[in-house]
This record gives sequence, structure tokens and C-alpha cells, in this order.
Amino acid sequence: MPFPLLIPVVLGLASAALGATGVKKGFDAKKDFERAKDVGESAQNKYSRAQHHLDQARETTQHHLEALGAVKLRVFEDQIGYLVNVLKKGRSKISGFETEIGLTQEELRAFEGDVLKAAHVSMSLGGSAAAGAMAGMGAFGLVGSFAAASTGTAIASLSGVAATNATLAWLGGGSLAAGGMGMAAGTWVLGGVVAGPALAIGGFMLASKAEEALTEARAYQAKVEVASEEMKGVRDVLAGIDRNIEEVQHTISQMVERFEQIKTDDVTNEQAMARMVQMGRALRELLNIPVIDAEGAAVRDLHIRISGAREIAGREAA
Amino acid sequence: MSKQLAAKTLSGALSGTLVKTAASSPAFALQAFNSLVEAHNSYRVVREQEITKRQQIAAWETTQITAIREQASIIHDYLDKSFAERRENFSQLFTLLDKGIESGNDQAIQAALTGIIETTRQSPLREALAAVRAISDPSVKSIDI
Repeated sequence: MPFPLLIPVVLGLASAALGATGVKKGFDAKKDFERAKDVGESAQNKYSRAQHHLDQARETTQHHLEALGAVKLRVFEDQIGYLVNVLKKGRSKISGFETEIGLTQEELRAFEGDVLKAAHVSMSLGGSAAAGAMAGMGAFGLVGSFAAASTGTAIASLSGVAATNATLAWLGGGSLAAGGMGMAAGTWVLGGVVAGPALAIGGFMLASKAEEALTEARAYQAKVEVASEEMKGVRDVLAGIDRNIEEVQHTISQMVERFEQIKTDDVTNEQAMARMVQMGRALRELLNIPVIDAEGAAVRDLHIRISGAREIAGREAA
Repeated sequence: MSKQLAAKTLSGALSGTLVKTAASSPAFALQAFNSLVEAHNSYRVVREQEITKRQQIAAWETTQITAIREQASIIHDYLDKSFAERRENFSQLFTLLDKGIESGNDQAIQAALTGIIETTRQSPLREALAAVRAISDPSVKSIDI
């Protein structure tokens, strides 16, 4: 073979070797795209499961709050209601009754106001907002406004995760592969040259895109892993709120027991009356202590909303 | 046809085409070779970059998850101890209340009621979260749990 002809042949052979690598990379890229897609889909499933568990925990807390609300309502109607009735009877019969038993006019009005509010909540039961109102009563008592029933919002706007579907579509590979390949190969094909080198170059480009897709999938997976862990943290906090609710409910029932022991309708017995007022005052205060802090019992920067109750605002990450 | 077989067949056909084309057109052979080298180099750079990015992502993930788990563990322990302590406190306060009622001791009754209200008012969750915050605060030297 003459020397000038040898150079292009050597070049051709070298190109062929590199070209074969390119073609192989193109085939490998398909596998990488599939891997990326699997990673993305598996992460998506994990996120959905974590969200489902969190929703269940939130519902459990909601039910506990409703149960506590029902207990509080009953105590307002029964024990505080009883106290108000007896006090009204005493006031109508004995001059200076309130002063004698250590009760101010404002306090008596506040007791009456609570009984009226409780009756109002009780009357509104059966409506669509009943569960929400009851949960609000459980969370905050009659003090403060209990917000209108909301539909409940899950973990809000986790950056990156919101774009899940777009990411997955992107990771699907089809359109990306076609697009990437098209641009690279286009100039060669349009130039009327052989498709061989174009295919090899397309293989390298496709392999690059597959590497990027793998990184995207890994980034998404990492965000999901972190978000799932944070959701577990929120579930722990919700479990803590549940324990707190149970504790408050138990304390209220213990106090009710004592109130029932000492309650009297003998308005002439100042000491017994004063003791019942003392116990009623404490009971009323207990009923109005919020279980959920108005400022929020949220962890990290996740925001939780308990439907029918009130937003628990999050705070900045510690 | 399997993927490997397809790749081999395609590579074989490609080699033949390239060698033939190179022999008939040296200029094209050089252009094709340069383009292939460029594409190969570009791919290697991208691959290295993406591998580095994935290593960074893995490191970020580990750091975040470790921190979250540590916080969760603190909250968990804190709540366990706090609720146990509160149960004990409530029990003592109700005992005091019962004794006050039995003996007609208004001061004991009031002390017990105040204690019950104050204990209820303290939020174990808020305290647990404060403990987590304190752990992130380098100026806090010790935390009692």
C-alpha cells in the first residue's frame, strides 16, 4: 500500500476503534437511562409511602384532638355549667354573694360566657365543620379563635420534590435521547456523509446525557431520603402531641372527679361555695390551656396543619 | 437479537465503513477522527464531573440524615423522660389536692391546683425542641436531659 494511502487507512482504523467504543457507550447509555429511571421511580414510591404514613399520623392526632374537644365541651356544659347555675342562684338569694365567696363580677361573666360558647359549639355539632370545631376545642379550649375547618395540608413545597413528575418524565429518556442524538447527528446526516461516525458520536453524547440523568436521579433520591427522614421527625412530634393530649385528658378527668366530690348547691355555706369556685376556676383554666402552642410545635422547617384546628407554624431549621 | 450482539454487529459494520471511507477520502477520515476524539474527550469530562457531583450528593445526604436522626433521638429521649417526670408530678399534686380536700386545708388545695395548672401549661414538646436548638448552639456547654 503506498504511504499516502496508509495514513487515511490508519486514521480510519483508529476512528473505527474509537467509533466502536462510541457505539458501545450509546448502548450502555440506554441501560444507564433505565437505571436512572428506576432510581427516580423508587424514590418517588418511597416519598409517597412516607407521606402516607405522615397523613395517617396527622389523622390520628386529629382524632385525639376531637376526643379531647368532646371531653372539654362536656366539662364546660356539666361542671362549669353547674357552677354557673349555683352561683346565679346564690346571687339572686344573697346580697353581696360574689364578694363573700371570693368571686369577682368579671369572673362570673367569664364563666357564663364560656358556658354560652360551649352551648353554641354543642348546637352547631352535626354540621360539616363539627369535627374541625371539636378539634379546635381540643387544641385551644374556648380561648382564642379556632380557625375554620381546613382541608389539611401536607408537607409543603419541598424543593425539588415538587418537580417529581417533570423529573421522571425527563428521566424517561426517550425524548432526551432522541433530542440529544438528533442535534449531534444532524450535521453529519444533512451533509450527506455516512451515518457511521454520527452514530459513534451520538453514542458518546448519549452516554454523557445518561451520566447527567444518573446524577439528577441520585439528587432526587437524596432529597427524598432527607425529606422522608424529616417526615419521620414530624411523626415523632405528632406522637408527642398525642401523648400530651392523653395526659391533658387524664388530668381533666381527675379534676372533674374532685369537683364532683366537693360540689354543692348550698349557697348559704360560704366555705363550701368558695371551695367549689376555687376548683371550678382551676378546672376552667385547665380546659383553656392550649395543647398545641400557638407559635407552633413544628420541627425544622416543615409546616404541619392539623385540619380543623389551626396552623402550626414552623420555625427555621435549628 | 441481544444488545451485545447488536452492538458488535453495528461496530463491525461501522469499522468496515470507516476504513473504506478513509481510504477513498483522507480529508474525511481526518475530520471523522477529530470529531470522534473530541466527542470522546467531552464524554470523559462530563463523566468525571457527574461522578464528582454524585459523590457530593451522597455526602450531603449522609450529613443531613445523620443530623436529623440525632435531633429525632434527642426529642424522643427528652419526651420519654419528660412525660415520665410529669406523670410523677401530677400524681404527687393530686395526692396533695386530695389531702387538702380531706383536711379542709385551702392553702394546700390552692398549692396543688396551681401546680396542676402550671405543669399542664408547660409544653414538653416546646422543651424538647428547645433542647434540639440548644444542641445547635455552640455557646451551650451542657444540656440536662
